[in-house]
Amino acid sequence: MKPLPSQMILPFVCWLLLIVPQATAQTLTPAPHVQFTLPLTQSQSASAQFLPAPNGDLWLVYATSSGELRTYALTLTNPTPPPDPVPPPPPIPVKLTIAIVENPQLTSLADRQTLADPTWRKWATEKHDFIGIIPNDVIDKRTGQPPPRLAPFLDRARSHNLPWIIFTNPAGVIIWEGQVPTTATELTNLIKQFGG
Amino acid sequence: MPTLIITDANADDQVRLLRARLNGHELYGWRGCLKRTTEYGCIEGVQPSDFLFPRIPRSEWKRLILEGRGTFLSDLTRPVLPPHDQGNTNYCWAHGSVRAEEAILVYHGQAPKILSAESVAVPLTGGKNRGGSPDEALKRLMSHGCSEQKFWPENDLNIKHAKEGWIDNALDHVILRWADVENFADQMTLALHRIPVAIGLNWWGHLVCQLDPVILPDGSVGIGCDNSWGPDYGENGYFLLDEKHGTADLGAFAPISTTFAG
Repeated sequence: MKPLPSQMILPFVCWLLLIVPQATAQTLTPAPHVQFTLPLTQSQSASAQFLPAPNGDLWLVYATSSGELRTYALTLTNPTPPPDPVPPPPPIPVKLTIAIVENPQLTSLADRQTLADPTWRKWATEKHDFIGIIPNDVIDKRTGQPPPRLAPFLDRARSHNLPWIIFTNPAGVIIWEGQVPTTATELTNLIKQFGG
Repeated sequence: MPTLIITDANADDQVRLLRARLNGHELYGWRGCLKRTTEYGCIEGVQPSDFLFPRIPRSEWKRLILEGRGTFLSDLTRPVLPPHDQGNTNYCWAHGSVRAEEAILVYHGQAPKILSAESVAVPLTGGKNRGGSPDEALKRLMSHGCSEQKFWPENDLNIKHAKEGWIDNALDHVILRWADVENFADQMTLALHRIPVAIGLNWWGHLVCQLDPVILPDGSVGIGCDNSWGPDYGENGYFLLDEKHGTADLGAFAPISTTFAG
């Protein structure tokens, strides 16, 4: 086997593009045992055939004008480049329902500073359904019971250290819950992470 | 308009302003009512502020004020709550107390609401234009709450003019827990915790709502308050008091939690 002369590579590639029907873009395999004229450099040409190799590859066999027989092994590959990996879908912004449960008598000064920060509140109010910072023993004076809308959040937070923040999606499924972050920036980022 | 800071230099002017507004009527607190008076019976739920929120040492105040800039109560309330205007009524004790409840509602993220001081005061006074005490307002706020102003027009002292549903609406705005306030250190500690305080001031014969801890131009620590004299007073009703004039000596309470209308 001799390496394909560099000066022949370009015309050969051009020839392949021409001889292989464009409609067969899916299968560029040349037909074996079919004789064809292989253009060479300097307006020369040769009689050529593709022959199947035992390992499944193809041999390109052609005879030069000087009667010399040359053979090249061609490994067929899928001419269509593999598609780029599908990027993960961008996060779909979810309108969160946000509730924070606190014990107003025990909330630390640092937590109050975080909870009172207007930045995350503005984001939570404008982009999401911000229920509020719910006192842990809130009741409806009419019934003496926690308001039904708030009861699930109060139950959820009951066994945790307060203040406790809960995100749910529009269907009411809890997306995330945990202790309120220690800074307003972290709290803003947390909301953006789960709800955009 | 420059920030209004009340000190010795202009405190007398404020008293004159009050007398002028009330046109010689009885001033709030002139009867000398005291904090935690039993005149109105026992008010449940009281806890000393110092028990709930241990007094923050004076040496810490300035640092904490600087660290908390932009996150104090008025940063939340001023954009959403217009000032009260008690007109020529003596109901500052109700307006200032109700403003404290409005502020705690805003802190808790509830929709901003303009509450009716008259829905608190008129059932107590029978429509008489008289002074009162923060304890009197607090007792009513804890038992019956206070309706929104859309149910009871501001400065209308006739209970018959209240719209149907005001009693039920008031139950959405009931104070559940509150703290008693003993001195200026308590006031400052509560302000640093973003808890409003209705403060009665004897020198003024007036009650206003304390919102913020502030550092005054002379470097001392004072408080930022909402008055109930309409938007032309101070900065849209907001002004500053130095410690001497801001120390509550005629009754005070701090609402901590309320019912939650959602």
